[in-house]
Amino acid sequence: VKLIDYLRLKELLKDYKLNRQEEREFALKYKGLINSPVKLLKLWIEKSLYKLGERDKELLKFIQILNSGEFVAILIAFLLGFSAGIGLLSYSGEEPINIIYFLLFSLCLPIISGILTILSILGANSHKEYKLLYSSPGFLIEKIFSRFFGKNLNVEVSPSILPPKIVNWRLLELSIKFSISFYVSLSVALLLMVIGEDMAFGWRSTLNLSSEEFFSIIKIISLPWSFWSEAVPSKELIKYSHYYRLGGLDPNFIKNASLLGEWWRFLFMTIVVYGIVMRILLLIVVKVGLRKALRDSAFEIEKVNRIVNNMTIPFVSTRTDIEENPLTYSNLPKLKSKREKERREERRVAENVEHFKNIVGWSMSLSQIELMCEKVKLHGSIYRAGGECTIDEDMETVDLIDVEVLILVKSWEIPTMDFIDFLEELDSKGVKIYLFFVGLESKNFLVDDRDKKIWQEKILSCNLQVEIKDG
Amino acid sequence: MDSYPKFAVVGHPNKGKSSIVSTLSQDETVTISSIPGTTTKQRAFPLKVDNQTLYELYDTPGFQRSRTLLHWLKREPTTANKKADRLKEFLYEHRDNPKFTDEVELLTPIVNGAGIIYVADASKPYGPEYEAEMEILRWSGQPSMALINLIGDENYQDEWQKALEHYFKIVRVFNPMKANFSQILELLEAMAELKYEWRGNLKKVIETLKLHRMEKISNSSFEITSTVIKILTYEKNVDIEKGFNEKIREELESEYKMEIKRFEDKAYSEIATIWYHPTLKNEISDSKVMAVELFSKESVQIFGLDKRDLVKNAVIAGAVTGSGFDLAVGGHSLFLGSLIGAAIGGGSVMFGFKRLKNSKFQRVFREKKFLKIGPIEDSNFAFVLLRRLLYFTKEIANRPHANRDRLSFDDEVLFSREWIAPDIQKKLLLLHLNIASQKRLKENRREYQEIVKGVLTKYCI
Repeated sequence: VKLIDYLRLKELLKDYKLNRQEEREFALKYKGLINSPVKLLKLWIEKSLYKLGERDKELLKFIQILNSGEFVAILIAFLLGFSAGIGLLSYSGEEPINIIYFLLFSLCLPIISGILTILSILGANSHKEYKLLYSSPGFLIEKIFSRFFGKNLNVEVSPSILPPKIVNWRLLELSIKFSISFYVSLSVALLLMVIGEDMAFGWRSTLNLSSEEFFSIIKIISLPWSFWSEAVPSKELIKYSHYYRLGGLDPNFIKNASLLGEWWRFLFMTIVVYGIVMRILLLIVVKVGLRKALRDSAFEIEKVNRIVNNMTIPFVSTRTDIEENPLTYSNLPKLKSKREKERREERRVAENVEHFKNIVGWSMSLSQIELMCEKVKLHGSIYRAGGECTIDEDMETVDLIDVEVLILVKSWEIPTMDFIDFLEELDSKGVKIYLFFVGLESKNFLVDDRDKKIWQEKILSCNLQVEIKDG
Repeated sequence: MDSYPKFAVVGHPNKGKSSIVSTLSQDETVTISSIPGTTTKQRAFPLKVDNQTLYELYDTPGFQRSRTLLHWLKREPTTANKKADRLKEFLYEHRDNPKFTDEVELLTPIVNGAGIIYVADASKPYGPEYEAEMEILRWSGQPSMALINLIGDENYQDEWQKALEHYFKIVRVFNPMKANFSQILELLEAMAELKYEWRGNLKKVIETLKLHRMEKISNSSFEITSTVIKILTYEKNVDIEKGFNEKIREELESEYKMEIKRFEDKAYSEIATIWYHPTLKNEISDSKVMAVELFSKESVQIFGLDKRDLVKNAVIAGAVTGSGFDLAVGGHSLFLGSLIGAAIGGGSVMFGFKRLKNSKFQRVFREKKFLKIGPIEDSNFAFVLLRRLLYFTKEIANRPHANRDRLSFDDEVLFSREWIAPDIQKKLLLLHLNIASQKRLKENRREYQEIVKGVLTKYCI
């Protein structure tokens, strides 16, 4: 994951709504990547870029600003290194160039800053900014650049909105690049001076350092390139190069003037090994760290884990795409208030009526019908219909009925069209139909208001002339 | 013809067919109504894994003219081997007959090979009006089972059982309004028994549903963890450059609470979406989902740790913090660090609990030109928040999709202390402290999510 991928991801997720199905379908298009979430995520970013529109250009501009800042920092480091090199190697011809001074720059400085870099690497994954890195000149330059050039950007990006982890690793990378540039230019300065000047190197120290001791130090320093003997100063060279502020030069110094220039190989290798190669190794480590930090930070963004899970876990759908067209009674005519009034009057009448010419028990056994008739004192010819009766038997019953009929129905069993057909047959014969609801025996045959309402709605929806008697 | 098993849920009108489909398909949008004949056409509910259908469930209208249909079928003498063809003949002949729309809709999937799930409501007595329906289904010759549903309070299960066993190979009791996940799986296992060829697919269905549920639990854990982290680290500032008075403080406190409530509601909404409960999502937007307000005393009483637990846990947390000092000095402190830490921890919690009970637990203080509130430091608050979220998730996860009642939280036992084991509680307390101080956020987040997942798995599977 690169910085631009991270920024794009953040920008994409700002107004992104998770869609389980779409995300899985996307992953299924690239089946080979399903087991590589990072690659899948990168591809998803790439394919979703169109959603960013102009914002993507702004992000690229932001990256460009960062890169320009980085370039300027590197350039400054190069100039600093070069000037430092020229300054250190400026040879007046009176005194040789003190190797120890040069070594401070080409050896001690890289070792100290290298140790600091390693310490910074150890703390770079912290969730807080690593303060040490904020003194880095690279950071200052980058900050100035993004402040100055990035203020007109519409996207909300600046180094400070990046997670500390990414900032830490980025600053480390920048610092190392800065150092590499510095040491490359230092080595260039050395080479140029070696070519363009006739330089003599020597060493001196206030410390009582013998040539032997200095030789052993030099040997340790040059251990990494010990295979190149020409770049490892010999004991003699060290001895001849020793000079004193008061005592002057070693008598052999002038004799071996041509030899004194040989130090440059050693110095060059010191810069290359300690200033450049060591930093390149650190740069590799930091690059890996930055990559990991970017990847981890990307996965720390809310939703990213969900998106990746959605992509990698099979999508289960249990629902239907077919639109429902439920029946509602809202469009049916409502019970008119007049009708309600009539019904109430009818009910009062019904309370006193005990005789009906015909009584039909719908979907009831004969004993059930008789029981009900006895219970509510109903008289009339009793018939059975519905339930166990066949359609032919129902039709025979219809034939036998005339004038009026009271139909006993189980209030809890809502009317089906079989029953409505039966009513229609009776209605077409001009028979006056009364409905009598029977409640559950366990509830003492009392009728539930809700059931009654369902019956009324159904009857009303069929446009039938039916009167309802209370049970 | 498709190779996967299909099941048509059929029966008399208003006996809970759509409820069963809704619960099995986890689809809250299926219209369930006490008005008969609400379902007017068959609808297929496929269970798909990456677009591959494993099985399909059909919601169908109820029988309307079963006796007329049976009459038609019996009009001509038909031998058993021709009965299915006779039924097909009926469907063909009446495919455009408005009189038999419902029968055509409900029988079409069956003649096309769907298994039969006949639904009966055993809260009403058995009656002869059902026999025509069952007889017609028998004519289809398709594998069939019956489900006894109990819609009302009465119970006529025995008489239904006897009648249904006469017509169906398998009879099961299944209440779609109360069925939990394992009951759904048991039903699917029973469905697998209907036909040998269907077993493989239904086994896959069961495995898929289990995995799917784990995924939902995982996503809920993620949502809960994110919300807890967000709330426990939330701060709000107000500019007081032009002066400061008590009203500003009160307004800030009120806005802060509102914002936290919004975070909580958003989490509820997300969790409802994860568990496919869109209607509940609307309830949440009305802010009525949790009868008890997050910052109320009741909330603390119901969801918070009790004083004893709080003190005990805080002592441990304090001791752990203090022990860092002991370790640093190699035990030369004679473990004074632990003792002091424990004492401070315990003491602060007793104070915090008292403050929380009075709903004044946010630390409000002035910082330069800003008045800052948050994050909430009370250790019990994190538990109140977490337990509310866990409780909500448990309710949602175990709520059948056929259940359309408003979410009510007035059950006898709102929250049981046994939900979170004491050792987990201790871990959570430390995690809450670490989260609040934003220490090792990634690792803590992962650990927290795992704990939440563990609790949810226990109560949602």
